[in-house]
Amino acid sequence: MKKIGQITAIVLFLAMLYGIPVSFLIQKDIAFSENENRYLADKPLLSLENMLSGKFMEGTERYIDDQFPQRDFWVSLKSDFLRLTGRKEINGVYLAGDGYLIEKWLESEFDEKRLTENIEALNRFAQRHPEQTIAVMLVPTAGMILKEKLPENAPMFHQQLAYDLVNRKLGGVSYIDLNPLFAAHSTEALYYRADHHWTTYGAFLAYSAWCAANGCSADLDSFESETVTDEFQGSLYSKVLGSYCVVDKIELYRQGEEDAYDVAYNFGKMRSHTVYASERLLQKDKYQVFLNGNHPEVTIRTSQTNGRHLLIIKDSFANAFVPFLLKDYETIHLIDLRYYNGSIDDYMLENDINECLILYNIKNFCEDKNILDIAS
Amino acid sequence: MVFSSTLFIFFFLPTVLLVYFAVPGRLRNFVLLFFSLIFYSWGEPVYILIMLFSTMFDYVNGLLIGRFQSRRRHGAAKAVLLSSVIVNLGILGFFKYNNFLIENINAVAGSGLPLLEIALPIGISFYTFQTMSYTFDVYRKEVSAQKNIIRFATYVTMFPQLVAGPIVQYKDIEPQLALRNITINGFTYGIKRFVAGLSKKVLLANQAGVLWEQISRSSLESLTASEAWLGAVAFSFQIYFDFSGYSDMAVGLGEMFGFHFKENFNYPYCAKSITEFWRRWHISLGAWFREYVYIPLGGNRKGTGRQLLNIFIVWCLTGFWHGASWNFVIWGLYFGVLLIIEKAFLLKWLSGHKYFSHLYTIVLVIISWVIFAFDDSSNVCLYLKAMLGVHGSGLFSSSAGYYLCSNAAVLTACTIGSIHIFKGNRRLEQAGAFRPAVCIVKLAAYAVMFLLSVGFLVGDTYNPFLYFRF
Repeated sequence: MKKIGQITAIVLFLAMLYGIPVSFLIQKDIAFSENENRYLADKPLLSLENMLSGKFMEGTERYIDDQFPQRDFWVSLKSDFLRLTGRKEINGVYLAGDGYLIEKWLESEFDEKRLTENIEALNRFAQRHPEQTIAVMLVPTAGMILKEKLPENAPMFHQQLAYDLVNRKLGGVSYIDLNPLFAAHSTEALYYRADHHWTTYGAFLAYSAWCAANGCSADLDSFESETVTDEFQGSLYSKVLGSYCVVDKIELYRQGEEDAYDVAYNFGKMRSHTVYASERLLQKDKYQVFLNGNHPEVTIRTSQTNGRHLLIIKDSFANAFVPFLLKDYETIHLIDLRYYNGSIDDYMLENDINECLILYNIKNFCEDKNILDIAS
Repeated sequence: MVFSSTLFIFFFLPTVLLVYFAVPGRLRNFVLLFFSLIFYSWGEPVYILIMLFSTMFDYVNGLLIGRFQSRRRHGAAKAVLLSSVIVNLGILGFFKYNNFLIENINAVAGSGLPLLEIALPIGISFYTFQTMSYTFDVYRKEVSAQKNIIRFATYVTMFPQLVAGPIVQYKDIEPQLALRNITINGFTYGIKRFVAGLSKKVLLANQAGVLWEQISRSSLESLTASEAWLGAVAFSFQIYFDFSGYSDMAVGLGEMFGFHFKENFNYPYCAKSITEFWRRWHISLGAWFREYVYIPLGGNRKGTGRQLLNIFIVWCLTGFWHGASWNFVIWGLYFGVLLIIEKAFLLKWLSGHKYFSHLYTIVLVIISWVIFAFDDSSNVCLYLKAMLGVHGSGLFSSSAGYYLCSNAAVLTACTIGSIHIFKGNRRLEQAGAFRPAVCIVKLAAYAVMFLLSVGFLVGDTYNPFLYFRF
């Protein structure tokens, strides 16, 4: 019996030891990992120079790591096992209640100096443009609104501190506070469960706050919601993998008959007749159905002729918000400062901008250093 | 290359095993040597020259010492031994301690000598100690000089113990270099030890390390006592399972190739005194210093004063061996002082207080790891203050509760792994050791441990990138 056990152990061990390299030989390399949103390593070039410099060795290790057979299976195995042991966070993401995944944001990661600089940049921007009305909306993250769902005692940055700083220092703009509204609706689906973005409903709430600030009203019943996918596995899903992750649905809100409009991306390099890019629903990151993902510049020309020209300086949260504005403006311009290098002032002049909206998720607003560009 | 990598487990190891068992027995040392050189040069191709020099140098020294000894020219033998020691320590000193030396000269003399920025050659602390043990033993006529250069080079470069020990003394494996018997028994035992070591490193040490990182990277000024203790315990587990896991893998790999290395750890956290702790922790290092430093200095045979000095020297060096930084010297002296106190009177008293002696030992060991963990002595002080709760941040915090909950299973597993649960109950240990059901359960447990370890290794390389790519 002892011998049989020992031989079985040896056979199993060797099967594993040789099985993996054999699968490497059989399988085809994968060029791009959708879950990780990055290109995977290729076979390194074997040359004397690469050997001596160590590049070949590093490349080999990266190649083996990246192309490991059934990589997602192993990553999920780790994820699931850690969860089984009671671990409440994986890869910087909290496993919160009701299937929600919530990005961890620690107090130590909050940079008060950067936020102050960003606010001051906004103030200077507002001072330079007294002609235009400038509104600011900073979307709270799920970590604040869904605090109740976080694991017990889980360390989380108290975002109110950031908002307090904004309230104290921001001047010369109309600040639209979303927090009371979001807090009041926190039991509804304001955020995707496995993606860090807000849902279309969350964006609608922001739109109703926007309307309230602009003296109009938004009626949820005037929209028809259409579920365009129910298999959205978002960014937080990718971070965690494992069987804990749920699949989200994405809804679009349409308002009866829509007037024709024209969407031009990156100064007309790409055009479309709709703010929704349904081809993106076939990809992994389905949130990109809204305005085709992030672009440096987007111009939407509607059939309105009311002379209102809006510039939104924004991150990806704005993409789900913009469709609500189509009936309100003659043109809507979007600029993503992370990818746009031109001058904002020139852009505003050229496009007769008379209203501005700064729309960021609060975490991005605290951390993004590109916001400084609007001051210059 | 490290053992706990997919490259080693699924490419290097299968290749070595295949070639090793395919060639006839007399070529096996050469195969091991060849692959050991690849293993070593993988990370730092250039530094292989230092190791080859070290090997050649002490091979020749061994032959010379042997020849001089046989011709009764003890003075000449002694001179060769001395040159061997000086050159070995010179190499170690130059590559490991150059920055330390320059920094301290600069600090004392106020000079601005530039640092050399030389990367530390992997395993240099281990293999220089191994080759020195060889020349010492030839000089003391405990072994005869090795004439076969392949055998000697195989001993020095052998990849299972090259990077992180154990420090194998030449006299312990001299016969095995000439003749090895590989049995199914031995090979299975090797697999078992390798998988156990891998799991200790990947499933326990790395996970305890995550907790330690979280706590030690937060601001030390506002750490509460409960968090600080949790962090220190986590680091104690991390360093034990990391190091002993590595030694287990070394022992296991050695067995697969027919070598029997001595054990390097023996449940050190079960010790009832610091003296006992050091008989159970990194045994091969303690043995080396005892044999080649403490006893040659006179040990305890030259009076109490001299013995105290010898203990002091040995622990200064032991600390310094662990790293080129003052905190390691302090760490070594900390133990030196404790050992002297225990020798003087405490040991006797402790033996009468079973539970207290456990508590006393583990607390002092945990504190020692805090000294060990930080390069910067001001951080050590901050952290120790936090442990004592004199910061003003208080004793408890909600995040300590969270860390404890989130890591309860890891910490429990580490605790169980630190004590020998079957020890003292030999009946339980041997009961049904070969019954089919027990065999199957054990086999399944090792299989699961291995699969999980692979999952964790692959999972560590998983690196999702949230933002848009261009």
